[in-house]
Amino acid sequence: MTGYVLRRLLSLVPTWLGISLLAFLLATLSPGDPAQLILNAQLDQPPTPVQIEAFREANGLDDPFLVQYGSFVAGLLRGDFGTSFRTGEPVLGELAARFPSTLQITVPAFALALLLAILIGVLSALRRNSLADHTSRVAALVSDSVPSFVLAYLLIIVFSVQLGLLPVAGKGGWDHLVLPVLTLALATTASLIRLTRSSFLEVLGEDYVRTARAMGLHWRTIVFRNALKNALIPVVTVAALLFAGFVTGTAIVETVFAWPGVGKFVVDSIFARDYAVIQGFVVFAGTVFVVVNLLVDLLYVRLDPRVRLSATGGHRGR
Amino acid sequence: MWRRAGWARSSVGQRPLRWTALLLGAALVTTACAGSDDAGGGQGDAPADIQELVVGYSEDPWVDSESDRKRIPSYPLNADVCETLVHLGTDYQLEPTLATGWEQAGDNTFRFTLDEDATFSDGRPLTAEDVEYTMDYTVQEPSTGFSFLGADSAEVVDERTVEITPEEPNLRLVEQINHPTYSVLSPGDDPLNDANVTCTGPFEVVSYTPEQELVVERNENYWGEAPELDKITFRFFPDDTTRVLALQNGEVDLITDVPQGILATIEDQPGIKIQESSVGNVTMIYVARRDEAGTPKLLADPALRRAVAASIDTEAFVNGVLGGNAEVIDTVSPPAVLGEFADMVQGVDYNPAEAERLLDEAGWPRQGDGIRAKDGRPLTLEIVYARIDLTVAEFVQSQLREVGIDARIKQLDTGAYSDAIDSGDFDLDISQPSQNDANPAFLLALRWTLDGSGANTSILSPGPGTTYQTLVERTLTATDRTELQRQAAEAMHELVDVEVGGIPLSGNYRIFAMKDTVQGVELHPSGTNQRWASVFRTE
Amino acid sequence: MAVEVTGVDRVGRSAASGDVVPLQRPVRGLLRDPLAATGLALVTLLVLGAVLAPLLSPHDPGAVDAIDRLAGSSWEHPLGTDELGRDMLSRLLYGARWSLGIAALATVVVMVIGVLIGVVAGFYGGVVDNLVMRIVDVLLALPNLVLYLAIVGTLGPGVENVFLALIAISWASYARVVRGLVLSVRERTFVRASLSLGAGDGRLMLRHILPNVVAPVIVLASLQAGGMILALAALGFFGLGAQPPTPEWGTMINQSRLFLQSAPTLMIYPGLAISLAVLGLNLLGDGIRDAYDPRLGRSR
Repeated sequence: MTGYVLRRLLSLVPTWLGISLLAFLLATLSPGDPAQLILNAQLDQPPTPVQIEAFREANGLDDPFLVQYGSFVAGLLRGDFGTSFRTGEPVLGELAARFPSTLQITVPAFALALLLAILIGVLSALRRNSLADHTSRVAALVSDSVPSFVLAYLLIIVFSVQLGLLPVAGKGGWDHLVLPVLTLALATTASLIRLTRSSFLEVLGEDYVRTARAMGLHWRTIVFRNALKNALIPVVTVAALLFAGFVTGTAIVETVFAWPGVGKFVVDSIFARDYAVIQGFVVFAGTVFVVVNLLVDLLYVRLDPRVRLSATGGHRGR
Repeated sequence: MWRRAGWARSSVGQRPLRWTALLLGAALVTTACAGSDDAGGGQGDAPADIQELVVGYSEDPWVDSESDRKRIPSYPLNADVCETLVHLGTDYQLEPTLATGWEQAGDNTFRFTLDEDATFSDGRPLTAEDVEYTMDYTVQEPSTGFSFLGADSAEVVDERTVEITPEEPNLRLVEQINHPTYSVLSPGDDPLNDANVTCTGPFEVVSYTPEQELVVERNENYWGEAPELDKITFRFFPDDTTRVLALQNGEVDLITDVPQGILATIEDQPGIKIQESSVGNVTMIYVARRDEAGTPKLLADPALRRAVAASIDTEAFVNGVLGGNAEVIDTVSPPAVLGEFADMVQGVDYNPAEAERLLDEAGWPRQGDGIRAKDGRPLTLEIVYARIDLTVAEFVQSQLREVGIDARIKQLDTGAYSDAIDSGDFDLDISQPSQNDANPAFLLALRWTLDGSGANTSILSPGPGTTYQTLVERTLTATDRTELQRQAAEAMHELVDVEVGGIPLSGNYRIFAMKDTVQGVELHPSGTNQRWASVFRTE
Repeated sequence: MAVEVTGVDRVGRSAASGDVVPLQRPVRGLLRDPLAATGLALVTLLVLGAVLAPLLSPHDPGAVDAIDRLAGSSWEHPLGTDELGRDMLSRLLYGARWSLGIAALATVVVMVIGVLIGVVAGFYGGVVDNLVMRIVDVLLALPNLVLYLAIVGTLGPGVENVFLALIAISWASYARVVRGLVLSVRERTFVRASLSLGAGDGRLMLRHILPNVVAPVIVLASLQAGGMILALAALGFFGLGAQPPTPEWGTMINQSRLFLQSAPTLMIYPGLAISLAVLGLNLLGDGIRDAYDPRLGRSR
């Protein structure tokens, strides 16, 4: 078990390094000399050539590529994600300070999406080709097609403007959570419903379920004791990976609802041309991905004992 | 607790400029406002038992510009916690406040007599030492040369008398010191970093949560007439739509800075009323002549500048885009500040045929695609904007296109915008400068005069030795207010009508929308001088 | 969110279908499937709108009329006017050119790049394959929107940069699918037979491998095109996409925010246009997939 987890961890190292390389390369995409950009922000006035030279020297900007990348990664490992041009604060601290706000909407949204997906997905599978099944599939298709900002604005128009039930935006009491959570959940649940349904159908068709039925086990017992558990394994995997996307990809919902989380901070940083934050955010998102992946693997081992035997870990949900 | 680590950048040196003086400015941007008209009636209604008000304010100014740190309880969001020596009235006249009187006491020195009754919220009486601390504190203002006061500008004469001497010769001291940046503090207060200040105003800070809210409560020890409200919560809604919806929703009782383009939507709503001030800020275009290095840009050509001005239909702008909720205007500052001389500024009339003629003559003929070009270079201008709707920029863009100018709009956040302004990385800057003090030449000196501060003014200014420069410099030494207004109007005429260095688009009222139960709002045309003590709630 | 969510599992599953399918069968199947036919009709309609925009538009999409702003439907302006008095219908039609055009162009470019890289990686294997797959892993690890925001945020707003970002990221899923297909095809006997007969690499790829890759790639492309439109709209919504006065749908929604209440149609019409385009492509994509690979069909 430990050996398996360790192997999985090692296999994620190259991906994380790749993400850090991508982040590092972003700096070369930014228009202008990084030294000049950073000094501009620090000095509040254009730096002199001497200052730029000294800065390049002090920060190793003239070093060979690999040396620079090496010290970038070394910095990341120490928790140094760079310094925001705009606030003059460490990027990691800025992101970490806003992360709880992001979790505050993503965790309930995730739970809601999963709950809806399992309920609707299982029902559709059990009543395959019924009206309810078709309706849920069409609904899922539609919700897949509506951009989440449009959905968010429609919810605002109906619940805040027309009905006056919920606050429009901003952070405050629990009622401020409702619309952002609903938007996030509805925007994600469609693909999970589809997955639950097909996974469940697959399990229902398997031999042991048929055998169980033939042996006269009660239908409900089969569904809830055996089939559901097995059918949920792929759903949980994909859902967990979606969650990783969730916590780093809330930019749209946070922008619409003026929610002071990570996503909104990054969007604001983009307009402030705060490249250090953009760069740090990519590493941050990559790290969240790696951590979630690892957790998914652990979960898998718990859910499905066969994994322990094969231990090749080739189930990554994508 | 709201302090964010590291004010690492505070070591910035100040630009030693005398024009700084005039620049009071930072005010520059903010929303303006003031309210002369109705103080909100409501005599018939009985005051409510609970006197609390939730205000929907725009962006948290403190977080908004972290490289240009603001004072959270007093500027640009003025929560009526601190007071200045002299207050700017809603008519742009000076009113004694903490100082009962002042006089010139030397070539460049003014002497202020403090009110004996004035006390801080902790009950301690106001003294000349407090004023000395306050004036010294302004030197720490992080934005380049915001303060026109050098170190040790204030001198204690006695307990109730203080003398203030600007760094450079500047007789505009009293007209500038009413700006809320010079709100009197207790020694040790640090409003640039910590909202918990002890001041003399009718309210006290209870809490501040960045990007969320500032809460103030009644100062039980207030030395003046007690405020009606027990508590005011200023909640931040940077997004205009959200702010408006929050009022309709009942989340807040009053919102500041209602966008003109959607005023009509709320006007008809039951239970909500609109209040407008006189003109307190101007939507206008700054025209860049040079870049940072001093190299002339396209609009260094006066014919092009005039063509741009003549191509914009300001009547259609005010009555169409702004829904008639503004005034067509010729000046770049609110006319009230120029007094009887405002008419000396005429503005460039809308005349697209004339614009086309000027462009043809300047050697920019129209090409096949309708855009003008010279030697193969298309006539492309870059528009940047701040604190206005994109709609305004798009309107200007469409008007320029009519006469064959291709305008590109760059959407930038506040920080990136001020970088662009400082480096001259734009051709047209559409902005909404607000008049926040009593000096009629403040904006002229701030933006178009060499050695100004707040922005790299060589980008906009007509230049050294020009008539304009001479006229503005003269305003520093005027001793008589009427004479000062005449001189400022003359300089503005030179700038707008002759140089076409600034193109006014609309004179804007400050607009509040509020529930019918909110009474007694005395709307100030300058947003940063808004007072709250007269506001109360009815059932 | 729909941006990164769309197509995750559907595309993933379509990748599993490596069987060779004759090309004619799908077309007939497609038209018999009511959902797919609806999708085809929607897409055709929108594409026609884009192509015929100059003929169908009642007005110049950029013509400003400040006085006649935020007007409701009328004979002159069937869908009303926007905040500057521009005709909404004309803007939506011209907007289709941007929104659909960019997505279509990006899809084609990405398809070509992805297939080339995937074929090369799968065919040669070894170090090349390893390197390519590591890059693909990285690109697929992060949510698309994060990467789009990072790239466009760094390069700066503008439709060209959005296009670059779409391409820089989206080739990865094609490369992964195609590589898998190539690996499986390679193992088949007929390829081994060709090898033993001494056919050159290029000829082998062209003759035997590409034809087997085409069908799944088309399925993938049809499913991904909707995602492209959503991504484009999202970047436009942030103000990072097409710049004003370009009538791109996402950009139009960005500008409609202020009028959410006074004129909600400014948001609803472009929102509807995006949704219909994506819905049409998703339905069509599902239909194509089912037609190629009935095993994965919806009725199983």
